[in-house]
Parts: sequence; structure tokens; C-alpha cells
Amino acid sequence: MKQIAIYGKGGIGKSTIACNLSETLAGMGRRVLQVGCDPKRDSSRLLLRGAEQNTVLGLLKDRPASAIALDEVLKRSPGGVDCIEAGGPEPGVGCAGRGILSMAQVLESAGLDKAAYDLVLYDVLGDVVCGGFAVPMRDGYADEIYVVTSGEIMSLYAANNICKGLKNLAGAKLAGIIGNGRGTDREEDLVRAFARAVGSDLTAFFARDPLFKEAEARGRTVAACAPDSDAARKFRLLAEGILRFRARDRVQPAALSEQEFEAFLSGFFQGCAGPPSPAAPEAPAAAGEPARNGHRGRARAQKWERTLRPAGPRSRAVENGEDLYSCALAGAFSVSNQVRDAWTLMHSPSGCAHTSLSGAALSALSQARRQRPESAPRLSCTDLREQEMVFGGEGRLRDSILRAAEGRPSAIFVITSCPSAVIGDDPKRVLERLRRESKLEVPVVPIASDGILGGDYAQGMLNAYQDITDSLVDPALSPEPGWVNVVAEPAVSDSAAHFAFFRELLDAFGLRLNCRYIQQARLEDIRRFRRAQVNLLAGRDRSAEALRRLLEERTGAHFFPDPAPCGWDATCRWLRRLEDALFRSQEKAERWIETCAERRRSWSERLKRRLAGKKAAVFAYAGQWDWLWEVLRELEIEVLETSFYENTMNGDGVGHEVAERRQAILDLQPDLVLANYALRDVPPGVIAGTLPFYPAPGFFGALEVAERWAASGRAQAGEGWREDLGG
Amino acid sequence: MVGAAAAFEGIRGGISLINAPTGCKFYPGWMLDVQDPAGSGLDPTDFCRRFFLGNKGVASTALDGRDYVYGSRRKLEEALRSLDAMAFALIGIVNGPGTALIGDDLADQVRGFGLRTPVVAAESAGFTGSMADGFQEAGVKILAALDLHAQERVPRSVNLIGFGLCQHAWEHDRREISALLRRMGIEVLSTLFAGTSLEEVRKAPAASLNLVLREEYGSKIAAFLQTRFGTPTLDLSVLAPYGYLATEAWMDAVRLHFGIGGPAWSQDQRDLRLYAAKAAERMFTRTGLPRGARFAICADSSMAAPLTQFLHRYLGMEPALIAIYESGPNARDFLGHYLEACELRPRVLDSPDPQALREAIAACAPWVLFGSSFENLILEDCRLERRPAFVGCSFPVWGKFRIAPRPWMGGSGAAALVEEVLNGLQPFTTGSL
Repeated sequence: MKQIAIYGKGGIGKSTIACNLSETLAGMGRRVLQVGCDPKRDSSRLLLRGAEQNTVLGLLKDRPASAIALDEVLKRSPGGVDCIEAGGPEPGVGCAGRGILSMAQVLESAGLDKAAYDLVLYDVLGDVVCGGFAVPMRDGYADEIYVVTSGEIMSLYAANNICKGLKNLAGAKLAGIIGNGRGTDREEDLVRAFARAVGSDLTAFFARDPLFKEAEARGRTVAACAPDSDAARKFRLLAEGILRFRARDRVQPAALSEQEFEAFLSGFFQGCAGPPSPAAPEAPAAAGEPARNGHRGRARAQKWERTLRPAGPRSRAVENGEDLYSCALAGAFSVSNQVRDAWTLMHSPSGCAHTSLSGAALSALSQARRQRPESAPRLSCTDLREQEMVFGGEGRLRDSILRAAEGRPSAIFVITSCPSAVIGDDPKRVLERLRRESKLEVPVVPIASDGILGGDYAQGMLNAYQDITDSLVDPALSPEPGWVNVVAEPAVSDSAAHFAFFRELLDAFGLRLNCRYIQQARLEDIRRFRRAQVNLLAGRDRSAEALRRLLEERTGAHFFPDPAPCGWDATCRWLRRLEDALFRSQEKAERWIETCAERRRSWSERLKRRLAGKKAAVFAYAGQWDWLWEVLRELEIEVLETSFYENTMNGDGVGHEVAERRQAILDLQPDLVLANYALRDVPPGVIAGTLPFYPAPGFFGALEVAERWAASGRAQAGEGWREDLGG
Repeated sequence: MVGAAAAFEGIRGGISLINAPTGCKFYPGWMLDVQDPAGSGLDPTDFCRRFFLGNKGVASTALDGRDYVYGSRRKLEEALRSLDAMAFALIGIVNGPGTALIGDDLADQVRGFGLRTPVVAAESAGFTGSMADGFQEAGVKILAALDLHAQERVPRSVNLIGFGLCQHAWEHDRREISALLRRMGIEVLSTLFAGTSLEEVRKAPAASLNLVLREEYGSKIAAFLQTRFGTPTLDLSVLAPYGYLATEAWMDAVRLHFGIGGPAWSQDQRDLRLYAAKAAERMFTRTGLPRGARFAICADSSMAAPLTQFLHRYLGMEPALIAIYESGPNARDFLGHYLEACELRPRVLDSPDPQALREAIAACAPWVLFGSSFENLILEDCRLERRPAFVGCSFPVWGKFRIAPRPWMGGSGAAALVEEVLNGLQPFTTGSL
């Protein structure tokens, strides 16, 4: 059994060559299977004389692969050729490349026995624009590949690109070039010269012949219509040549670079009036660097460029082109999920929703510091499957939006994933249609996340903040005295403890809470965002800063310049400045400070008795640690060593490798090792203290952290479990 | 994707490499590590290096938009070489959904790298099938890649098939089932694929029997071994040993196959069973419960079917809702027939989405809910008059350590189920004697 594939530029006559070849071989008594790998589903038209045929993907659209039987998709032509058509999505939707992968899986599960044939021929669409169209090149599929081209420059250009793909993907599988003439000058010579230039041979050349047109008009092959013609004779020779061809004669094509290609052309036409085709070659989709396995080179490249240059604010990793941590979908959900009365719809496979749901649940658990969070994440998912990957998922998205709306949430946020972006689904288009049909009774906000194509976790957060702000904040409202927004409370922290500081602040200063943006917010809170006189920034990391810039730019919000403080001195300074800015006085701040001073003094003294004079080593993620230095100073703890690890959310760092860290601890012999996670390699007798990413703001947040170090110091009696771990 | 990763991580010393953005790795990485009692423990700074990102369980090629355009080969090679140097027993590559769309040929790419570590590639992207599908695909690929040879049969020996890290309490169940088999004089050669070494997997062809406990996770793996080595398969998924009745039937079937006699239960197990019955009697005489208490089960069919039977036939409870996640044909049919024969009319949902499940739980108002932490979360939003007791028995369950032997399968598992139900129903006894 031999398997061959025929590649070539769209419209160059691949299917005509393939059908004539298959029918010729069948006429020679060979058992032939022709598999059309083109969404146009016209590969076997000439073989089947226009008879109807189910396509594999046409059936897959409505049923699982396991429910498709081989005899539903395999049809024998009057000339004795077995025909299968992949079919595919309508132009502009879904992913035809994925369709080819899906077809291969369906045929395998349906039990297609390729060994029953003498020759299996794959007729493949145009360029190798993505991995899907490279399936026929894979092991287990075509052993020999033929490239069809005419002597037109565009066709040769495309043939050269296909050779690039073959070189990268298939290795030494090129069996020859087949010329399909268009009647240009010296055409056969040019195609032969091209074949040699890429290290191959011209296997056959079919000159332009009106017979082809006549046969096609009758829905038949030349081999069937005019078996005694010169063209039919040539097909017999080609068929015999292919059957005789030995695997060892295949070559890895020496595809030409663009410069080499231009040089080849000018060399060939030296002395001629000029190239035969008046039109300059258009760069095909896969021009430039070969799209090795990647998807639809140019289309995806544009998407990727968009990732690098999003319209709004950019995360650090996206800005600097660094490795992307998590993905924009997860980041977007971490924001949308905080709106208490809204619903998030994820346009993704269910796995993305599972992942995000777990992340949100765990974050909620850590916020609530108990086993059950206060409220469940409100999330559903379009559950994209194989069918949607091929045919597009906008219909499913539409149904899911309507379904989510039945629960009467205050708003629905639609966030998108890598797969939905790759197949080109556009939520805005779906919403536009639903609006035209007047089917939406709740606000639906599409959030541009696109999984990793949208950027990292931080970028997803920024995208969500931007889209929610632009869509939901009421632009008609103006600031009113006494109203305050609390902005960017950390999502992964003890939210109740964090907000307690602001609650006390509001009471002490006689202010009113307008909106928490966006933790625990309701839609109505978000709408009236602009009513606040002043915005207080609760978070202290890069994301919080980015949100502040975004809100200033989009809503004209006025922010108090300093983020919420942590630690005694920092909090005193912050309160005095805030009161001065709001009321041109300081008496409220002083009164509050005074009421807390004694508690702070006694707490600090108590901790000092346990911790003063100790020596500390700090191994932590890079971030805002001013509160740490303040409390270490206050408690008279000496810092022997600091080492910061990379943290894309906050800043740079070049932390120790684990072995170096262990050695540093052994060398320095600290009394106290501080890290974000209690380190296992802290020796017995040394306090293993933890550092929260976001300590509670206010006078006592830092002391609460130090209290845990002291408790850890008290409990040094023994940790027998370490011995059980061994090593 | 998670299922395939679970199969690879089920090999002791094995590692999954998820060929995808880092966002696709945190959940399986964290969850599978937590699911393995012998897992690493989490010290993120131990695994700061590039392909782990502070989370050991699973590695990732950390793809980005550029790789979606130009293919993943460069990063895949870099990651594989890095893992190869760390001397894992096996590296299993799993494609993420985006990578599957761009059509990278994993098998072809890996061949050229010349690595020392055995590498197995599964294409199980999230959208191509369920977690169990991915688990089985990866399992079959592991067996095929190991180039196993037929061996002399070990009499009275089995491969335990269908256990995975993606099942709650799998290690406890495995120990319970192994102990039951040991008492019958039957040796377990391998557990496919959870907590097993490559050496044990290599012994799989010598087993006298493939014993499938959960068909969703084992039927194709057993079929592969049967086709390749002629090992007969006993698929007891409809009798997966949850509860006394199913466990007895399961043990009878195994005994019958091997021609073994002897008592069904040990004295300890008989005592335990008596204590469970006494406890049920105590609650019954005081309150009339657990008879008639409404329960909901959210689980794979091979768990949902025998569990429904046990709760109904042994404790007299009434099924209100059964949500099936992974559906095996035998167990699913059995469940349908059982409900019909007993004229039970619970709401039955196959592969429900969270919204449908939320609505169903709210409508059915169960007293006890068997499920995963996801359903426990959903309960928060259902605004039921009385919050049902939650029994975490499906994957994933978080926020609780499970150290002391506490299986769901076998006699000990049945006792644990009775205990959970009776304790969970205590708040519902208010107002009774």
C-alpha cells in the first residue's frame, strides 16, 4: 500500500490532477482511496459525477465521532475509486485545519482500513498554513508528496512555500513536482527548472488543453471522457511512475529563500522580455518565516501582535515581552468574579472553567480563612468541544448567554479563551446580533481576554477592569463630598481584615463608602463609581497602580496619592496627610492615633521581649516590603541577609537557588528565617516565619504578622515529622 | 488534559509536561500533587525554575502567542531537555487546547530529541474528551511505549485497573481493595495508573487477570492488555465495591473467577458492619432516619450506581438527584435499570453544567450531598432552608487532609459512608425525640 499527498496553491488544479490520477489507477485495476482535505469539499466532484456525498465534518457537526460509520462517509465512484471528503466550516468561521485533524481521528475510530488499498491519495488544500493541513505529511499518512504548480510566478511562489513546509515538517518526503500548464511562455522549462532548484524532478507536465475544461463541464475526468487523448496517456504514465517510485528516491526539498527565489526567476528569464505573469507575486499567508506547525501564519501573527500592543494599559510581562504567568482568562475571571451579583460566562472548553473555578474557590477560602467561602463563584462555560473547534462556537456562545440570562444576574461578563480566539469567535458580533433581536434584558460585557493570546494574568485583570469600567460606570455622575471609593483590595488576602481598616477609617473621618472597586461590589456600586470625592488605593502592587492609572484616565477619578499603609509610622503619616488633603485639619487622625497608641506600645513591647536581638534572613518574592523593614526595626531584629525571587506581579528579583539558600542559612545561622512560605530547610531551633503577600493595612497589620513569628518561636519544642520525612 | 496528566503522574517518579501556556498547568499541578499522599508537599521556591513556576506537580512549556503562530517545538525541546536532566522515570507530554488547535505533531517532534528519559505523548486536549478519556488515552500510550513483552503468568494475580490520581481517596481505596484481595490469596502486580512504579507496570503482562474497578478509567486500558497479551478482563464496574452489598457481590465475582472459597468478611469487618448497623438503628429508633432522607450524588457512574443502591437498599434513603460526570456504559445502564426496578424517580443529569446543577440542587433540596468541592461551593448559592450535609467523595475535594485509612470502597468504606450519612443527618433530627 502506498500513500501519497498532492499539495499546491488553491485553484491550481490539484483536484483535477488527483481525480484523473485516481481514476486512471482504478482503471488499471488498482484499489484506490481518494481523501479530499479541503473545506470546499470538491476534491472528488469529477469522480462522483456530481453525486451527493456526506462529508466527515458535516456529520461530526451534529454527532460524536464514535457515532459516525465508515459507510456514511465513504462512497465508491462509478470509475471504482473510493472517495472521502473532509468538508469543513463555512469561510470565516471555525478552524478548517483542526477539521483535518478531526477527520483523521474520525476515520481511525470508524475503522478505515487503509491497508486494503493499493494507493491512498490525499488531495490537500493550498499552502501548509497550519498544523492541521500538515496532517497528511505525518507518519502513518502520506509517504510521498507531490507538489502541483503552473509556470505562473504566484504558483511557483506558493510551491516554494510548500517546499519550506515540507522541509520542516516532513523531512525527505518530496517525490516530485507535477506541472499543470496555464499556457505561459517556456512554462514546462520553467517548472522543470524550479523542480531542480528545490532538489527534485518534474514528474509530469500537463500542458494547457481544452479537453480538461470540456471534461470538467461534464463533471468527469479526462481519463474517463477521452481515454485515448494525449492527456489521458500522460496520466497513465504518471500513474505508472508513481507506482514504480521508490521511497529511497524521495528528497528533502531545498526550499529557496526569497532572495534565492528572485534570483532563480531573474536567472531563468535573462534574455527574455520579462516574466510571463504581469502581476507581481502577492505574499501568501505563510510568507516570510515559515509557519512551522503554527496556525494560519498571518492571521495568528496579527493576533499575537495585538497581544504585544493591547490598546489599553499593559502588564509588565506583556510590556517587556517576558514569560507569561498564568493567562489573561484566569486574570479576567479573578476580577469579574468579584462582582457579587453578576455572572461570568467563559467561552472556553470546560477545563478552563474548572481551573478558574478552583482558583477562585481557593482564593475565596484564603480570604475567608475557613473551609467555606461566603459565596460561590458564579460561573458557567460554553463547554467548547471538537465540533465548535471546527465549525466555530458563536452559536453556542449565543445560547449560553441566553441561558445565563435566565438566572437574572445583574450583568453577564463574557471572557474568552485561547481556543475561542484561535477559531476566531467574536463575542461582540454575537452580542450585536442578540441586541438586534432584542433578546438581552441584562447588560452583557465582553471582556477581551483570549487566554494566553490576550497576555498574562495581570493583563487579564487590566483588560477586565477596563472593559467593566468602560461599559458599566455611569459617566453622567459627578463627585459629591464625603463619598469614598476603596480601590484594588488584594484578591488573595484576608478581605475582612483588609476592609476592617477602611471601615474604621470611614467612621473616624466621618466619610461614606461609595464603592469597593471591585471586591464584593454590586452592579449598582460600579455604576455610581464617579460619585466618590476621593479614591483610596488599597493594594500596593503593580496591578493596583495600573488600575489607578486606568481609572484616572477613563473616569477622571481623583486618587489620594499614597496607597494604604501598613505599620505604625506609615499609618500615622498616611492618616495625617489624608485628613489634611480632605479637611485641611489633623485632629481626627490624631485622635485615632491616640486611641491606638497604648495598644501598639504594649503589643510592641511584648513582642520585643521575645524577638529583640534576633538575627533574621529574608527569602521572599520581590515586592513592597517597606512595612517589613519598619517592623523589624521596631522590634530590634537585625537583618543578616535579604534575597528576592522573581515575581511578575510586583518586581524583579534574583533569589538564591535552593541549594544556595540552604547554604546561606547554614553559614549565617540566623535565629529567624522569613519567607512567603515557611521553608522546609530551616534547621530545628530556628524560627520559620511567614510573610504574607498582602498584610492587613493599618496600625497593627505588621504586628499581627510578627505575632505569628513569636508564636512559631514558642513552639520550638520539637517537630518529629521532619525526621519521618527522612533526608 | 487533566486526566492524561493524572495518568502520567500516577507513575512513581513520572512527570507530566503540559504543552500549553502556564495558565493550563496550575490547577492540574496543584491538584494532582495534593491528591498524591506521597507527593512533594509544596514549597514553591523549590520549583522556581522556568518550567515549574513555583508549583511542582506538573511542568509546562509556558507557551505564548508567538508559539501559537510558529509552533511549540522550540520550547518543547527546551523543556524536555531540562526535565531529561532531572532524571524522572517517565515524561508524559499532554497538549493544551490551544496547542491541539495549531496541530503540532508531538510524537514526531519528540522523536528527534534523543532523550534518555522515556517520553510518551498524548494529544488529549481539553476539548477532545472527558477527563477519563484523557486518562485512558495516556494509559494506553504508556503501555504501548514501554514495549512490554508477554511473560509467564503469575497464578492468582491481578492488575488493578481504573485507579487514578483524579479520583478522591484513591490511595485509601487501593489499599482497601488490595487488602481484600490479599485475604483471598490474590496478588496485585500493578495498579494502572496510580502510585505505581514503572517496574510494576512492566510486570502487568504477567497478571492472570485484569480487574477493572472503574470502567470509565480502565476499560480501554484493560482491552489493550487483553489484545496484546491475552490477559482476561473482569470488569466489575457495575459492582464497584461501594457499600456492603456491592462489595460482597464484587468479592463473590472475583472468588468465582479464581475458584476460591472462604468467608466473605473477616471478623473485624463483621464487627465493623455490626457497629454500622447498630448506629443506624440508634438513629432510626430516635428519629426515624435515615429512612426517607433525600440524597444527591454527583459522581462518575461507576461510583454513583453502587452508591445509590447502597444508600437506598441498606439505609433506606431516597435518591433526589443523581448527576453523572464520567459515564461508563455498564454502570450507567445498571443505574437506570435499578431506578426503574425500584420505581425511583430522582432527577438524573448527565454531564450537567454548573448552572443546571445549581438549579437542580436548589429544586431537589437534598439532605445529604455526595460530590466534590465544586458542589459544596454551589451549595452556598442555593439558598436552601437547611444546608445539606456534604460528603466529599468525588474529585476534587480540597481544604481537608485525609491521612488515616478512610476508603470509600470495601467494608471499611461502607462503614465510613454510614458514618458520614448518620453524622450529616444530625442537624435534621432537631425536633425529634
